[in-house]
Amino acid sequence: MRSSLARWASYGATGLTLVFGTALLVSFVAQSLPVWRHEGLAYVTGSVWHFRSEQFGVLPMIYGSVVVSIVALALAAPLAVGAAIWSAEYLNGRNRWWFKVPIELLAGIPSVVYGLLGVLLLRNWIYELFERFEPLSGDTLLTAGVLLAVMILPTVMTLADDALRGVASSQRRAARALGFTQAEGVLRVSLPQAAPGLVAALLLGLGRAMGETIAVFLVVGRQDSQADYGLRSWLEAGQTLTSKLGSSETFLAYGDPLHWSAIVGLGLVLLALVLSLTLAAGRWLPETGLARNRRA
Amino acid sequence: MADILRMPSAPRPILSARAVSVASAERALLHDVDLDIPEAGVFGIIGPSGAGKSTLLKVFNRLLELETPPLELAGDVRFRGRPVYGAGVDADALRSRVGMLFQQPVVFPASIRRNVLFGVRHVERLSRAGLEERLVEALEGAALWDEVADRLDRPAVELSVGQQQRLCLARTLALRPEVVLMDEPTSALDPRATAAIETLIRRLADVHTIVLVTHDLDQARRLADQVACVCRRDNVGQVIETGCCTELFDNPRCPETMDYLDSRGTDQ
Repeated sequence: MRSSLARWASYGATGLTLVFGTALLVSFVAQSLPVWRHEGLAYVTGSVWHFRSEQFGVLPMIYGSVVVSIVALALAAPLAVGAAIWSAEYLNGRNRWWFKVPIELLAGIPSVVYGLLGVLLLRNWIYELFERFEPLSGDTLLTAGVLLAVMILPTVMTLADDALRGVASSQRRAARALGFTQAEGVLRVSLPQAAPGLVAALLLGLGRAMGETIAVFLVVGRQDSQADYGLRSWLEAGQTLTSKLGSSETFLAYGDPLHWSAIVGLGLVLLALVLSLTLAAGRWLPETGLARNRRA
Repeated sequence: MADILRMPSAPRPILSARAVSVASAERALLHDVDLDIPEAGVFGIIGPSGAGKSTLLKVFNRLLELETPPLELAGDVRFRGRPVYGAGVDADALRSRVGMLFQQPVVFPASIRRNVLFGVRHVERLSRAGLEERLVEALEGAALWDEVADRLDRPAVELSVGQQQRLCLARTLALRPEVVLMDEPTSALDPRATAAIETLIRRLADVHTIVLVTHDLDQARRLADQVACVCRRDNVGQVIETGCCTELFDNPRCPETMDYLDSRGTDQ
């Protein structure tokens, strides 16, 4: 009786989740229809967003989101995985505690605080560091990416540490008994076996980077239109999907159906980006450690 | 002088321990162990649980150093007359010559082939043909070749526990070790798999030195040429008595050995 009740409760919860998810998606699609009719495919390929002239191209925001996320991940991944290896493989219990706890505390700092630190320190550093390339200011896509790297570092490090510590110690001991040094054991045993967990940690970090709003909003420069998509553009002001959605234009748009649908469309594009990332991860994850081992 | 009195005509032991003591932060685990392990044959180590048999085994290939929390070792341990713990001794290279088989089989989540060659690929630079040759040699040495020859690329975890233990032995043998330390290698196995491993141990003893920790006195009787009994005396593990197998089992000299043999005789 109890088990059937639990089963139906879990079916119910799953069903409700699916209903809400679908309702959300349908609502987003329905509310963004006017802009799709107005712009067609140019909505995602257009480089100009100017709501007074009813031009809505979101490519600069997609580009901004992708660039800041890639920069964040490229900077955070080696540091976070390196720190996780240090913590999981080389530190003993008490030292690991002293190492991990402060890092985990960093994950709890509100993102607006990171944003303010970015405004106070990071944008000046970036401007001075790249002064010879003559950026207009320190508010750039690169600044947002570096700031996001700092923000996702604790999350990725903690999850990577968990993944590495999930590898049975007997596996390490067996490798050492075969004459492997500790470093070789890490490379040949721990890292391959923890690979799925490490990839999951990186994807979660990427997801957080893509969804972060306020910190990016404060340092990205918030320039809606983009003329250049080359490397040079990383040192220019830009816009991400989230910083655009977090701006005051969202409130302005509410009275104008076309403008509002363009704003809702941004949410839909963000949703699609995150969904494709998740699906890609779902396809790619089985190709990492465990499945390869299963196949081997 | 004491060495001469102990073994006037014996060849130099392959492994030896002199005045070896091991302690954790809380308590002493082994005290003043003197032990000579002759080359080739099976050297059994018996004794009650918690007496320090496995700790003693790990002393010989420095796996003791990997224990957490760390253990402290004092005394002199030698492999072929050379200090095991001396400055400049490569502990990792030593471990490839003094291999270890654990109580529970530890297979890597990879194919049977990759498992067997895991250590060899790391220690030696062999050609593809050389690796294949070593693979067959190790699997035949572990009496596993006939059972896995047609599925070398299947995951090792698909093997039964007994086969996994022999696979671990093959992985160790692939490195061509001089000594194989075995820590209760059959305790997790059924009688049939145990019999297979025992036959194997006896065969391997012709070319390797086997140091076998076991709780199974009948197994020690069947396999060991010489036996050491490790018991707790004054609340710390000590090698109470060593001797050839029949001598120690039939005419134990120390009361601890007698008590242990009596208790196991009652148990079994």
